Amino acid sequence: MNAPVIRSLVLKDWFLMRRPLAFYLVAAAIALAMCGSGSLLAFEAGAILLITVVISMAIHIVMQTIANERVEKTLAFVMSLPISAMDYTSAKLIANGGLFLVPWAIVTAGAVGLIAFVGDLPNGLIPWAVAVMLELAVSYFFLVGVSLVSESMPWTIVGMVVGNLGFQAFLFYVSNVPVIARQMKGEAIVWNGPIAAILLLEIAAIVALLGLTYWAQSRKRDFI
Amino acid sequence: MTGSAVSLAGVGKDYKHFTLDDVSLELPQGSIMGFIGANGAGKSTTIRILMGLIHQDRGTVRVLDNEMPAGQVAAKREIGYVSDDMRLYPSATIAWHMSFIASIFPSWDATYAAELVRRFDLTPDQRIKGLSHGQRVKAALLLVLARRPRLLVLDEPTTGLDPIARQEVLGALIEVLADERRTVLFSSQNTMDVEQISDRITFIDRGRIVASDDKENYLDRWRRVRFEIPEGATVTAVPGMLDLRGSGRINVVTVPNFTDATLPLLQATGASITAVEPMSLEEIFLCTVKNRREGVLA
Repeated sequence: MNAPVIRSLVLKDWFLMRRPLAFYLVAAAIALAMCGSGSLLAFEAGAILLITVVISMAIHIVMQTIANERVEKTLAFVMSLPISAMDYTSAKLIANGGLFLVPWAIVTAGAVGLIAFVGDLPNGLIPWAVAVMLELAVSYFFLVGVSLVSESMPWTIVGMVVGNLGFQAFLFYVSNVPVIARQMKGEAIVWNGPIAAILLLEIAAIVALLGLTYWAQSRKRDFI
Repeated sequence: MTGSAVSLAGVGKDYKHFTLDDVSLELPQGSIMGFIGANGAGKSTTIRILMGLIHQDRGTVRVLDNEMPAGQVAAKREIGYVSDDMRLYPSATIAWHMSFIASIFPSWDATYAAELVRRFDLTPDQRIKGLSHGQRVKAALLLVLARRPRLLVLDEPTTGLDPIARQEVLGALIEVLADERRTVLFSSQNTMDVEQISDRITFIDRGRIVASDDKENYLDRWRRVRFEIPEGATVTAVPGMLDLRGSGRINVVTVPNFTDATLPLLQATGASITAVEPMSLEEIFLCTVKNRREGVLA
């Protein structure tokens, strides 16, 4: 592991993404404010906006830091530095993980706080909201893996479509599991049962996606 | 420490529609090698293999005493690589790129970088997307030169530049290379660019090295000989001479190994020598490639 260069590459991606990230955080804050305004219409519009902001942010990060490096030919510049293909993969996973997870954690904490402390939303929504947010993280790491391994804009777009369809299917499924649907309407915050299994599966999926990405990258013989 | 900065032995790489075949190449420390080939000849593939970016299917590659691709991290600490298909980050400034590279390479020489900024007529606060192509190439050269690499690998850096920008970039490069002795591999399809800065030349065609020698040896050895033959006589082929062309009395032949014995050999066939002309590197390259393809040259 070539830690000093990986660190420089991570900081580089953070620097180049600083303005879009600030924009998405402001948009997420507006969405959370709409959710907490007390109006049902504003809540629904805010929730849709919040999910849209997180999905857009995920796509923007991957497009900008991974897919565009090949399209804009900056990958050759990066690979001319003293790094191996696996160092590059590590740098991308760390940079992209941080770029997504930091705002994601802020947005998730904001959503949980909103449900818990603002308005009259049932607290039983919290586990559901966490599962939905975690699913967005699963879709994100899927997209990161597809983009890194394929090194292709068309495949990144396919990954985007598949990830989004998967998220919609998940949203439909998790909202219609009878136990979860019942718990969502109650005041008790229930973490065990089906929701616990879903959360564990989501975390396992993220770990598996990271492992698969590393494995696929380690098998490559041509990197540029 | 070996005498070669770069050593390729029997290197091969197979693609669906292209094969790099049995490439062997030695680049002595301190020399400047021009690597000439047409589009798709295998220049970039060879360079990417020696940079460790592509793994060879066969053969061994050593760069600055590192086995490639396994030793690419150590090797790339001492290689400055600029390629035609390399771009800097468009939204960042030259100054940001300089500090980025300085954070990675302890050898970064800030004083020399400032001098190169002045020599290349660059503005550090300018964003890359606002630069002309020539300025971008100069900025990329600045980023590699200011870290004082032992080996400079330039993969068609002048491709796509207009004649003025090309001359500016080459002039700047010649000026910088004159400062100190560095090992340089300079690939191009433009023989004039290569001729200006190289002391060794290698030709590659269709994935194979077709010739490799000192530039002066090429220029000394290759000659075009014009001669006349008596009316009604026919031209006799002379071993070692290529591309016999002409009609009637006036003829031209290319000689790849011109020596004192060449003209007497021709004269012995009844030819009367009218001129012996030196050849440009481009003419030598074209003749070498053509005759290799036809199997005339070994």
